Amino acid sequence: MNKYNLKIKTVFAKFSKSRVLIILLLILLAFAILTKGKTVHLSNIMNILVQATVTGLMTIGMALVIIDRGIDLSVGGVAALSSAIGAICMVELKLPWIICVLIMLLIGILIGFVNGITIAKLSVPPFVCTLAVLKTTQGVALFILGGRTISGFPEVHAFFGQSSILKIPVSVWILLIFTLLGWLILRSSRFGKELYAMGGNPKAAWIAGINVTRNRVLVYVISGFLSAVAALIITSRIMCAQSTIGEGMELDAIAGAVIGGVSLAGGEGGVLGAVVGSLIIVMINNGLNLMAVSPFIQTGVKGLVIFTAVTFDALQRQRENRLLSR
Amino acid sequence: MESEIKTIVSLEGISKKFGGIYALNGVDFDLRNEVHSIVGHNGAGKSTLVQILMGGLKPDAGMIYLNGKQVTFSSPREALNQGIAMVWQELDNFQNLSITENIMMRRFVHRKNGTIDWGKNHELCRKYLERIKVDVDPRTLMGRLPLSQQQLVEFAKALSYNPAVLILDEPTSALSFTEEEVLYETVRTIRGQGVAVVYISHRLEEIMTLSDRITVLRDGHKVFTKQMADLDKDSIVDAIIGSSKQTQSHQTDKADSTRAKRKDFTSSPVVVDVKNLSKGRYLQNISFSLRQGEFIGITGVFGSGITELGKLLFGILQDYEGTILLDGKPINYASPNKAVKAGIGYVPKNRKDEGIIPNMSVGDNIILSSLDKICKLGFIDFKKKNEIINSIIDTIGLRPRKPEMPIVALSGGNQQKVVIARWMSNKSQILIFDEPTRGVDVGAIEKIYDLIRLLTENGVCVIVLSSEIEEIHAEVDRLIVLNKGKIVGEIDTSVDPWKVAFALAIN
Repeated sequence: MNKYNLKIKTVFAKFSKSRVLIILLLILLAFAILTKGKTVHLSNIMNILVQATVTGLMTIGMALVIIDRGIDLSVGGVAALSSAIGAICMVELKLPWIICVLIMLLIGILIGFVNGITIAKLSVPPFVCTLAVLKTTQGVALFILGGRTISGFPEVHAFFGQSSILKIPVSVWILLIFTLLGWLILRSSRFGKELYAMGGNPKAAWIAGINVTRNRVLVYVISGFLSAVAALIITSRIMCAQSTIGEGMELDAIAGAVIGGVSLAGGEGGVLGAVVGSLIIVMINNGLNLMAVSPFIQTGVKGLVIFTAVTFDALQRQRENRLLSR
Repeated sequence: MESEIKTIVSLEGISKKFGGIYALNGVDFDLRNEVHSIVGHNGAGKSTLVQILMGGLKPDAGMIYLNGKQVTFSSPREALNQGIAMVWQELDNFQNLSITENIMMRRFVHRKNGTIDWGKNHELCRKYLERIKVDVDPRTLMGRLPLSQQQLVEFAKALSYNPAVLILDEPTSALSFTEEEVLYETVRTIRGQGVAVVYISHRLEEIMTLSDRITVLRDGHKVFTKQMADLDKDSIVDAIIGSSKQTQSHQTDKADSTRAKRKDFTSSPVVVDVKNLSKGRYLQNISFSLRQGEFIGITGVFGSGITELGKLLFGILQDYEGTILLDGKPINYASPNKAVKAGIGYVPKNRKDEGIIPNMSVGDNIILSSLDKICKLGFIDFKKKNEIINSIIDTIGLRPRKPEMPIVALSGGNQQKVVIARWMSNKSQILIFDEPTRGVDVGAIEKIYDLIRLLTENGVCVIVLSSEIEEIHAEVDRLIVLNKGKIVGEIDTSVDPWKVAFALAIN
């Protein structure tokens, strides 16, 4: 193994880390031009950030799960169920608000736990398990809501989605805090290191003595919890619970993570990249809206972006493998 | 009965290099309608020779003649089409498919309308299985069958091609006594029908009963090809071992130094006590004990059960009969995690699949099993981490001294050092090594044993499981020999030469 190959690998690593930021800035530039500057208005930037908080939170959880070679399709359903139950508690049962918030978070943790146990102990493939959980939670949410929209949330609930602290929206603060936490955990904690090992070589990680079961359950609990936090923000913004909450968010979260450099093969990627990736997704939505592009085309464009990101990731992996297997 | 002797395959002047080292150097090999055994040490070139024969490898030099005509095989499929079939030592089949699908893959019998006629296919496979007295429903999934039956199915599959040449690589390593007998009978029958059988095995007894001729390989050269009737066990063993000056002097030097160092462990406390350990057909009635600070070797050929023993001790395999006591307490770990917590470390056989984390750096690979030692409240103390990693890198002699280097940038030998080093920061009480020098170049082997010995200096117990009998004999004080899951002997390495161990292992 010579120095040449080593250098190439390090160069690639550096490139992929800043790649996301480069793409973000390029897209920002593109839309700034296409919308004749509307994109870069301060109010629009704020708009983007606020929208990004919900996707961003789910993307952080998704990034952790994908690093472990898993996937969590249930995030949207968790948000829906958490919102629905939160609404029942706050509006119909009129329980103390703090209790309701805690219940909403608990829903996320519980469903994450169900996912984790099923995947870690019963060896059900993550795709299958979380898909089933997605449909189940959506179903229960629909049932609870009975097709109606529950509004009349207590005013204090507006805190998450509509208040600001030091001129920065609370939801953005929440995203920042969890991004920081996620970054710290992946970079500097035992759990983070073990997660990367589990994703990089599950068998070797197990043989090295890592408690794979416990970590895997934890990672799905985190994802569920973050989806519930997202539900807090969503319900806080619209001050009601609807059956459409969370729909399609799993794909946005996955797309954000992959664009952000989290490899679907596992063991690679980070929270910062993932959050920037989700920003890109939201920015694309935002830009296309400003350009009054038909929502049908918007879906197509998003799909194309995801396809490009995944393909690029795969090609880079191939290139790296070819270099290193000489 | 084919009484006419004819040469079916002839390999002339075959050479094959792997990365500068000759696996085979100018080897001639001819095959008649006979049972022809190929024997030799690990690394002698048996697999390479046979892989060239069946089209899996291309020789760097030399020629292959099939029925007098020169041929080149560009793939095993080509060789198969020309009538050369092989049954591998390590099974590589479709676990999730049925026996029939495995046997008939790519040559299913179809109906006139193009769909697969499953009835006919199953019937055919039933007949193939009957031929070798295997009574299993061909619709059974391969993965559900015990290893021995899977091996037999592979055998039936090879036979179903009606090959002119059949290569069998350690075919009885997983079989029971009765199954072995059936296999021998089948081999004799097809030999009688004119098929040429190449038989690779470490088991001297079976080779001597079965073969017409035997070829001994050593270090890439052919020692001889002789009629079995002209040979006895000792001459075969001598030929396999050889009397190369290098080997002998290395062995004597090591034996001398070991004798000088030989400590008396009878006063040390017993750390591991294994009594009547049995596991299925892998291990039978194994008993031994390990004292504090001892460095023992457990050796045997492929299929002797040494790997399974290591896995049982570490919690990779569970459920056994008998007792395993650690410091007097019975153990049966549900996972390696529990074993590590109890102070056991394990270096797996297959570092690529089971050892290294390829996307991580050298430093991260080293510290992986000891994260709890450098963490406060779950977060890593980077200063402590770097201190420990750097000191370990110095100890194992890794150059350049760059812990951030990706582990995949290291050579095989250095990667192995890293996996071993994983346990240096863990203060393990017991270390188990499974084939620690496998795939490691000669220069690094010595360093690896130095590393292992370094670990024993702090009262750590070390078990090395290795099929490299000569190598391990030179390093340990005590060598336990396994043969087909049973302990067949315990060697005091300062007294008995490794030839004794080797004879026990291959008997």
